[in-house]
Amino acid sequence: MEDKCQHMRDLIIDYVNTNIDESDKIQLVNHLSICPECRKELAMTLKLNMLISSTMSDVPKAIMESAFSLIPRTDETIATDPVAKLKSSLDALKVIPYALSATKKSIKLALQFI
Amino acid sequence: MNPYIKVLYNYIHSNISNTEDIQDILQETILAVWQGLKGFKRNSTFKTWIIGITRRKIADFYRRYYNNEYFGTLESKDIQNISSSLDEIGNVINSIDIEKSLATLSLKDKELLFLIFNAQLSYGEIAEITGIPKGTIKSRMYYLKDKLRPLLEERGV
Repeated sequence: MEDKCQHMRDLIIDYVNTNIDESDKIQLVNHLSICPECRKELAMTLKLNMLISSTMSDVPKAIMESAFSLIPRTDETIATDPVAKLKSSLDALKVIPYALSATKKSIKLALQFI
Repeated sequence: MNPYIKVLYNYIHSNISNTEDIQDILQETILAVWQGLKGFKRNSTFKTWIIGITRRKIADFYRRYYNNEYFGTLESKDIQNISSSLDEIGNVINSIDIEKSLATLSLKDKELLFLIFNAQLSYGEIAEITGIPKGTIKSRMYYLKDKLRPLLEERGV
């Protein structure tokens, strides 16, 4: 096998995995147009890829749902971190202006009907 | 993280069959990723990094429960190991059914095919994860493909 074809074999893997950059892709396509051996190699790599990919199964629901279960939940982090706890209690205060403006609006609306 | 769960799950599943063990290893892997995020240096891609973590978790499992040397030998750079496993493939691939042949490949070769086609990693990234030189990985892949070639062409898959 020519050195060139050897290099193309590597590019074919990248191409099948869609990891190939544009200049390599052009180089590969040009080579494929003149090299029947590498065209065979591409066909065979695509088949192998198809076979191997078909062995991938979906993640069972129970495993998916429990996948993140060891990660501490955010509210637990807040409960143990005094700064975060203070911040989260201050968050409640942010709501007051919105609540006041909403009340103001509804009073205005009500006044229109009096 | 979610788009990678399927790859991580299948990677673990291709090495371990017990559902509860798979579930435990996946959870431990995700916890390790979460804990390591701050220290992630971006010297490698995120995908390579998390697959490397998964591989270490699988290796821990093997060491813990089976005292199995597989991951140890896979990490070994001794070319002798690789060539003896290549002879095994030669015998296996003479069987008629290619899917059966794939199923009976050694763990090392199944892992290589998984990392290339399912995890879609480059030779360089696989070298980074496994510690095996890039050239050795390429040679193994060439050999595997050459052995599988007649069967794939014959079956016209």
